[in-house]
Amino acid sequence: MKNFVLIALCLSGCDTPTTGVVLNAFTDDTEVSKVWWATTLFPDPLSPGETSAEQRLVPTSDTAYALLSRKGSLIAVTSNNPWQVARSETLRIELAPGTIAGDCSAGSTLTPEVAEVITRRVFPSEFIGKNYDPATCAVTEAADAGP
Amino acid sequence: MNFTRVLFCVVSTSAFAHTADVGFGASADAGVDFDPPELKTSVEAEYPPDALRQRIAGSVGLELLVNEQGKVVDLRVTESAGHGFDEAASVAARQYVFEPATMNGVPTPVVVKYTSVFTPPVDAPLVLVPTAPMTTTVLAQRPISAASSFSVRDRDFALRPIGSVQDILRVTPGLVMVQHSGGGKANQYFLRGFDADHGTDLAISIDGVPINMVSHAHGQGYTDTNFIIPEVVEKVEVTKGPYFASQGDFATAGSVNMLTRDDFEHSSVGLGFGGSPGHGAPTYRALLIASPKLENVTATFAAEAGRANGPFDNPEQWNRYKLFNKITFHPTVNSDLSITEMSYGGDWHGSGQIPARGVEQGLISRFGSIDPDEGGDSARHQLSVQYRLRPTDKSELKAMLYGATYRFNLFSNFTLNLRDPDNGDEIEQVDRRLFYGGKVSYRVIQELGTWRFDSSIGADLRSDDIHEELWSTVHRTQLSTSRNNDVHQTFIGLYANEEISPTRWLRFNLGGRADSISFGVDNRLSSADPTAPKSGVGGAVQLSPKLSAIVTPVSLENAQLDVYLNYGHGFHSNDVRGVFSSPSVNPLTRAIGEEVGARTRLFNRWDFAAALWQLDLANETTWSGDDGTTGVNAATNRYGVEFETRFEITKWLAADLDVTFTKSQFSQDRANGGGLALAPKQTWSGGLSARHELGPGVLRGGLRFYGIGDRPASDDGALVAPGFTQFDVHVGYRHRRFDVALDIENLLNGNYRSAQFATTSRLRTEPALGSPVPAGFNCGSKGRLVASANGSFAGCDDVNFTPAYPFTARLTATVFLD
Repeated sequence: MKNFVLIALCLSGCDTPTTGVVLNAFTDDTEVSKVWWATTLFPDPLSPGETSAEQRLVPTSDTAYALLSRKGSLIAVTSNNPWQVARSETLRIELAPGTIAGDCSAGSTLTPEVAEVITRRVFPSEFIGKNYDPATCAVTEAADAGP
Repeated sequence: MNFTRVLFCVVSTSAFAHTADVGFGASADAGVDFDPPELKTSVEAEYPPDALRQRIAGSVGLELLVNEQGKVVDLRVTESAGHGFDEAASVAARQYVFEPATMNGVPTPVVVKYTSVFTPPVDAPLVLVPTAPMTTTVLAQRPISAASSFSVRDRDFALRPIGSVQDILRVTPGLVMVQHSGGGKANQYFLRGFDADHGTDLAISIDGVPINMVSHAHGQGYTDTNFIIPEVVEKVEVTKGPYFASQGDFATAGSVNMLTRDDFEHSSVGLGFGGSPGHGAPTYRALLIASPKLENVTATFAAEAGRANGPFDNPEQWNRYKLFNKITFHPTVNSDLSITEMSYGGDWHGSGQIPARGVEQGLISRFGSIDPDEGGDSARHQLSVQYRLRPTDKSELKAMLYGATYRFNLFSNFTLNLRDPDNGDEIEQVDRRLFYGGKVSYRVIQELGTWRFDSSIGADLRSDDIHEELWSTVHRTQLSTSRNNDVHQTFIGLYANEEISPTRWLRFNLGGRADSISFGVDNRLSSADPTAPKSGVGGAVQLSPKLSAIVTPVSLENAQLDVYLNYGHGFHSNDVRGVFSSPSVNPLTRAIGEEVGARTRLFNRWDFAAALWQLDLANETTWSGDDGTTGVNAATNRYGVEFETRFEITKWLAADLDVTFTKSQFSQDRANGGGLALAPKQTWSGGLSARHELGPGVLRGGLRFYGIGDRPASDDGALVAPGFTQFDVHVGYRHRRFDVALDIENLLNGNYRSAQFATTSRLRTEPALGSPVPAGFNCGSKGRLVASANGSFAGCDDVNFTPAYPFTARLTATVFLD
């Protein structure tokens, strides 16, 4: 009987897909515009306190990349540590001042290399024709760099 | 007289289900005055020519339902012998007339148990018919026009691990199939130097109803056999090459026709459970078969439901149901009519084709996924009516009609983040269609002196009403559409074939067919995309001559040899949307094949066949459903040799081996040695099969292997799709009341790749398109960098693959209900 129950449970639950959500845990007016983790894009903007739609993931460990929007300015950030999820579990990526790096207003900056990955590779469309300064989190028009 | 019979009688009240095991002449109940039936008129069963030629013996167990008038109104095979014996015995037994049984003086229906024993006489004249598709049992001889043509019965493929219809198709020598991006998607087929993608150059049908989809949203000839319940397939007919007048569209490399059962020996309930230890999630399956024994009508109902997950990190969750309903009856004594309905619905998640560098760099495991939203859903419902009339014992008329509806939504991501770095390159392909058609053929055998003429004429009709779309999507949400077409296309084919046998050792086969396609495409998009197909109507005609000669130089008791020479034209159609695209394509691509082959049987236990063949294709044109464009490539040439052998080691143990070597190339060297991407160069398959009585039942088993050699993944051969050899095991035990089977796939747990493609793609964290390539960046150890003219990054050209299943076990238990 015990085996039967185990098999029944397995049949109904063993193939639960691995999923994930993003939580905007900021308490100010910071909006999470987009998040990329491992192989999955979370495309929808999240207001503070809001949780994204659940997406399918693959079980792995990776750094999350995100774009924050604060007062109309874009801020490129990464997670401080890799987020990891096991098979059939739900990953909860919590973006808050304490879990990210690169928010200049909090005194955290990215290296130019990491900023390049985020702004030119992961979220390129937001930075077409623009330059991003990881030291100040300022976005400037590329033309400002001169002819 | 080629055979003897042993007759037993069993008495029941009226139906098979109530059979009582009582010996001939015994009373059914004590105190009841029972007189058993008495055979008044018997008809000699015709010895199946294949079996006679090979001097194969067999015995067929039958149960005959004899009515109050003494007529055989129904029968069923209780012990199958294969090799055409079942049909021959059944045809003869239906013509028996009994003095009816009586109970207390009143005629009563009874069930007669009957064993028909076929023993080939030593001095039997050799029939010049080697193994051939046996589509009829009344006509004694079926023309054979190529060494590479044969049929396989369920008795043979029952010794193989059968988890799906694809496993049954593996009985075709030289045909290698691999799983492709999720269980609900069609397989990848490789045959005679063709990477037939999903079926472009291999015509696959069931009961003559075509499975290949013309102008399909995912790819021309898309062949999804997932709607078929494997257990209902009784027989597989295989041809290779364009030499058969009855074969039309897609039958360039070959054709496979599956024939379904009229009924089952038992009604049954089966449950299956399996999985890959350490990988993925379990797979399970339930199957119900009801085969009621009705008077004058043979009926079968089968229903399958299941959920499959595979070994993938992203569980497939392939939920599916399948239905099979078939009734067969005899409107007259010399005709039969079958009505068959099949239904399928399924949805799944696929792991796609993952880039080798993604696994190598640790981004995902080999069972991982870059886009876990891949997958889709599909449904097919078809109805067919088959009619067969035998006006005389030398002629046959066959006609069939079919109609089907089809639904298909597929989410894929091949280039990952190359074309749309922001949302990713996920696409959705949509196909909705209604297709219908029919076939009619007439065959007659005439003899003038020693000359024998076997004449066939026939006609095919198929019409498809299609609506298809191509969307860019993210997380299965539609963003924009780039294709939206209504397509209607109709095929009409006429063919004739004359087999002339002036002597016993010589035959000629003259045939040909004329095919016409007419079509219309309606582009429903108003976009100015120059690559989008335009609206228009068109048509094309092709004549395809066929010619064969068959010589039998050796015809001894322990050695027979047949030598064949074949020449024929065939074709595959192209996606008609490509006719109105730029560059445009011809709707029909001509194939010209030549073949010389031999088939021999030695010592009544060793079969060996070899074929040397060549096939020229007018152009290697493909419709790329993945980006909605047409690819026009130059003419190609393929040639190769095939070897097949079967050896009966003992009465209960047999071995077989099939090996093919193929050279595929563009007819004109394109500065790359004529290399042709993905064309298989070597394939092999074989194994040991055993069946032996054990206790009250029969133990069966098979150790099988199949494989494919390394092949170029790109035309220039710089990228290589590694080959593999996979071993599978099947062990089963069948008892009167139950059947248990254990299948093991990939016994040695090899890390093989199934479907493989050279694809230019971009992972999200790889350099942005058009940006300088960073120092030290590479596309993995086997991939290569794609750069634009100014040296900027344009993607990675890498082998994207679907992993083969690791060690996978599947246990199936079946209980017979009657």
